[in-house]
Amino acid sequence: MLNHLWLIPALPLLGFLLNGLFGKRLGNGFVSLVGPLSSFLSAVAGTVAVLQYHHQYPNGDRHVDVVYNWISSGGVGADLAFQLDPLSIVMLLVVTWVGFLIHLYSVGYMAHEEGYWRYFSYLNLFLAEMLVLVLGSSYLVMFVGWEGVGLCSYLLIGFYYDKDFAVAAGKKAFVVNRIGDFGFLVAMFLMFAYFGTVDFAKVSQIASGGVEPGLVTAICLLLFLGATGKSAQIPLYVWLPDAMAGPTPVSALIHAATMVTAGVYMIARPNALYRLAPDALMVVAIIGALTAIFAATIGIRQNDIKKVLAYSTVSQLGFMFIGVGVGAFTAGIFHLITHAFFKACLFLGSGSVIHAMSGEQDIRRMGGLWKKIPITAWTFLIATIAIAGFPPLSGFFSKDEILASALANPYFPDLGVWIWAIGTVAALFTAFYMFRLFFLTFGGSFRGTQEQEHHLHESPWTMTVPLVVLAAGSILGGALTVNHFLEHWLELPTFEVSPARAWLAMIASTIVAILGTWFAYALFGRRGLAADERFERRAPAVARTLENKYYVDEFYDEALVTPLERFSRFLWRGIDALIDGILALGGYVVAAVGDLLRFLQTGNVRNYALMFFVGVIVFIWIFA
Amino acid sequence: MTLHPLIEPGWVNAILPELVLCVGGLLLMLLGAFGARLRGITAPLALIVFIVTAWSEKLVLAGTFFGGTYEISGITRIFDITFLLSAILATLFAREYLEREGIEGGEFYALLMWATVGMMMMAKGLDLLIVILGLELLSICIFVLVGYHRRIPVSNEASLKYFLMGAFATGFILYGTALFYGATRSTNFTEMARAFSTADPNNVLLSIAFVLLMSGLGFKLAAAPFHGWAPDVYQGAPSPIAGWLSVAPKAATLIALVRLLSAMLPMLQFSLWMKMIAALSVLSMVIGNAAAIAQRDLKRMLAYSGIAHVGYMLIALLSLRDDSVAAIAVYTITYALMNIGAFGVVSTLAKNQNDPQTLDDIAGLGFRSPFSGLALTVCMFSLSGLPPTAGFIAKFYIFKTAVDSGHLAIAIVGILTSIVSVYYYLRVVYYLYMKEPAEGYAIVPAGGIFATGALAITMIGIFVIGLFPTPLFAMAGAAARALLP
Amino acid sequence: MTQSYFPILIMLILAVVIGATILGLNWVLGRHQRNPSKLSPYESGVPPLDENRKRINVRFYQIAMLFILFDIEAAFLYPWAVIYRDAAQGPSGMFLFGEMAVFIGLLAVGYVYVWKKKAFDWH
Repeated sequence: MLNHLWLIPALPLLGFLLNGLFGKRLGNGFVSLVGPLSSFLSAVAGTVAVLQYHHQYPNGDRHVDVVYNWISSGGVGADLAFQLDPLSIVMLLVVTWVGFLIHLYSVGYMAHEEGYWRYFSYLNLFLAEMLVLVLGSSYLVMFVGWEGVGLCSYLLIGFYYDKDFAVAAGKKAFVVNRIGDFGFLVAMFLMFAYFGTVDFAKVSQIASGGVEPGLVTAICLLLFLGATGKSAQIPLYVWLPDAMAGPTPVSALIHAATMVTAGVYMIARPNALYRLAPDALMVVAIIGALTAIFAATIGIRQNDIKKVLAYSTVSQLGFMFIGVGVGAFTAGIFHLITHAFFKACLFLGSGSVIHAMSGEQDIRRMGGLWKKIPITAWTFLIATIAIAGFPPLSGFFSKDEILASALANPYFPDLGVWIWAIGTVAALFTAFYMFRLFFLTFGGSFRGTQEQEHHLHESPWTMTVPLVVLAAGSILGGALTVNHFLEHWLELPTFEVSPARAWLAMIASTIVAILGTWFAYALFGRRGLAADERFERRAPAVARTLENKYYVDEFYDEALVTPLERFSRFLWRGIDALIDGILALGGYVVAAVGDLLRFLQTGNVRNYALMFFVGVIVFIWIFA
Repeated sequence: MTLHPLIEPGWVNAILPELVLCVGGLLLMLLGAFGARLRGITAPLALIVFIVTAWSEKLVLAGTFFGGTYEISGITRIFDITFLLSAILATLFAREYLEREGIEGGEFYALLMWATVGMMMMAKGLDLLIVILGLELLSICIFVLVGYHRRIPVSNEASLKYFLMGAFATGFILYGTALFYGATRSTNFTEMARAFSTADPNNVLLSIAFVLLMSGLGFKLAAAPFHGWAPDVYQGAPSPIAGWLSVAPKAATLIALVRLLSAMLPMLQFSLWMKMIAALSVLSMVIGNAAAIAQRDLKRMLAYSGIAHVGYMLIALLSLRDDSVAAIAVYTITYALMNIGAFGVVSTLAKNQNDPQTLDDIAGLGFRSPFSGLALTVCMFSLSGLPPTAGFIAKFYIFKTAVDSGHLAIAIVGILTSIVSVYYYLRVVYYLYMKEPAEGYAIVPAGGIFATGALAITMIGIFVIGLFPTPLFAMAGAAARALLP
Repeated sequence: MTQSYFPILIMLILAVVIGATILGLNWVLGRHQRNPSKLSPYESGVPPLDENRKRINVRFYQIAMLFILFDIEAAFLYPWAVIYRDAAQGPSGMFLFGEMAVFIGLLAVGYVYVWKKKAFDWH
């Protein structure tokens, strides 16, 4: 398998082709088999490759499998190669196994949907592209996967294509992502121009060898721009909440567990470059911290179950960026793993709730579901405890490691304290809004309609089994810190955190988790929506601002979109017409020359011989 | 077996392919005379002969033979394969074409075989006289092949025009050769090289000799301004022959030219001769591409496109390095596939061959006959140089060698004219799929299994070379390195 | 060396000048009276019977071409025959024989072909 790494993305790609070409004709049974099976086989293939890797490379070296070499002549080459090293293994295992669980879940969730075959073909394609992204050995291959997952995200968000809102959300996702991609592309061009290569290892090697620091900082910032697009950080996060218009498993897979983590991978992979550019790291950490707290505040006032989780995702991604931004790459990746588990569990759980509520997503109309859908409720609770950061669940370990590293980071110690503080406050909010969500959904009494109450039922096994597995992962994920296992495995650069700071961070995190939960319980545990309504009455302006996401979307619309539209119209009417005219003129000239040349072809051999002779005479005169 | 003190042992192996072809040709000629019953097997027999010849290339040993006038090496083997490939494709297309037109006969394939012998001599000859001998053998066969369809006037006209212009051009070649002999006391390339290394580059006699020789060879190549004959001849000749004619003789002329120029290598940088080749190249690219736009007859359009392609190939001659010679070799092989394929599709159109085969004839062909439409589309994409076809690889290689050796301006001209060419190639695709045929005028391709097989070969070849070019590059590069000192 | 060619150049120029002068004076000074019978081709005083640009039957060309080919073959045979008896004893005797055998053989094949294609028949 190690020499056939291409199989891992190829299997879901095959699933995409089969489902896409034959799914409609062969029916749901076929699709239900091919979709999850291809992702399962891919996961198995990945695991086999990992085991082989472990056997062959005990030192954690990089294994490259060149698949295809298109043109190779004198330095200019285009290679398609995959690699396996500790970091990509972590990503690979997360993507494939969580991906498989979500494929399985989708069988139950999407069973009654029109376009079932389309859904699975897109989902398979997404998995294939994501695998290309994490397995690629160069920025170029990664970019192919990067664009591919962006495309699939667009397709899946706009899956319910008859709903205008969904279609618009899909477009928004794609366009905003594109802005980030611009950063990625320019970074690649710089790499190519100054380093002559875009291979991961070679770029890091050349950069470490000593290049202009400004260049490295520029590349790192541009790569981070791409990361903000994909991982929904300030200022390109606006697409993620809207993306909830897509089916819930899509939100789970793409917008919680895999695609959005591509941005974090984007910082962790070129860590050699980032360590050479502390300024870039600082920017990453600051943006991460700001995003974390910003999104958390919005999450407090959201009433759609998926929107809360969406802002929670943005916030948690902010934590991951804090992690990699302070140079604690392992911590960031650790949180990526744990987040994948509990966030996917939360999203799938919300899907289960929505399924039980016959499609209702507003938590103001839920409540009292604890007894009605126990498995969902228990798994949701476990995942909520994990995300809130209660020891000894996984969320505590990963979040705490990030915050401790922020406090103790060697790159910018003073700023680190501020970042730690902001992060801790954000963690407080996290616990708060997550438990608010939990209590409003499952606690208290039922606030919905008679008909909804009548239909309340637990979900089928295809949906609950993944929930249970993911919840288990959320509990056990902390095991990765035992004996610094993950640290040794990843072998990413780390730094020492003094015991004093470590304890401080740990205690603060635990206190904050308890506080947040207690506040939530106090306000929402028994009294349902009353606390929300009181807040609205007491501080209407603040309430409305938070509810409307600080009016950021509106601001973007006014400041960027409208002027852009006006400029575009100007270009269309004015400049475009001009350029079209010039080009048409060029074409006309060439055609006219051709028409003139026609007259030289008289059909008369004597004329041809004359042309020949004249040509010879002219050439002799000029060249002899 | 030492026949003669002057003939080296091993000469049989050296000319084995030529011998097979000669004997095969005689056989087919007699077969053609001995009765109508045998007509059916002439084409398959011809194919067998070509394939046996290709296989016999393996038995050929490298080296110099016949007193230093004949050289076998890696590059000659590659070009031999190109010639044989062109001949095989032409045979496959010709089979059903000749039957349909009622002119089937063994002589056709015999002439094709002897023409290939002539081309092999041009590729392997180390002496100007051998090259000319091969050239004349080739030309005589072409005269007859072009006029093979003797019942239609355009074919006769094409043959006569080619003959007259050919005779005219041969005069120039011979005069140039004579002047070269006068300047260097020999017509053998190795001895000429020795003389050239000490000669004065501004010698008027040598310059005139070169210009004359180049003009005559330019005729064979259909390079502007010596291209007058090409549109008429391609239009009148039977389509399989037109396709073969657009590739094989050009390839032979190019390799002969490479040999000549490599003999003159020491003088080249001081003389204006390379400028002449550059002028030929630019004129061909410009005139070929510009005139093709105005054409509505498919065969004339392909003729002009052939002129343009010669222009691209001549770019590589400007700096004789191993990668430029390899680029020419790669280009001729890919060109054989795509151009003969295109002409092949035209040859399957069942209509009166005296009338022009225009774009209107193929309107909507993509839907009437999907396979032909697909084949023609692939060939057009390849000719315009779009990835991942072989045409892109060939053009990429040529332009890369041009840029690497510093001829940036001409590479830019090449790329610009290449962009222009995309228009008329894709116009064909547009007609194939987006135009409705006129009322009741739908022409259906009447190709049988041979033509289909040939089109399949060309399509597969185009994609294989387009996606996996490295083996071909490597082989051509190694052969070219052996050629140049 | 070019000096020795001067007389030829002078002769060339003279020839052209004299010829051109005579024709030119004729054209300038003479009377132009054209009538059809003056412009028709001369056939010993007899009025012309037929158009002189008729198509000639291709058989004549065929026979002429075949004659040329085999005549050249004979022309090659002559020197060979003269040399052969003496040279046959030497080192390249076999070679001489073989070469001429191949030559005649090729032409024999051509002969058979032409025969079968009925080019020898008059019709």
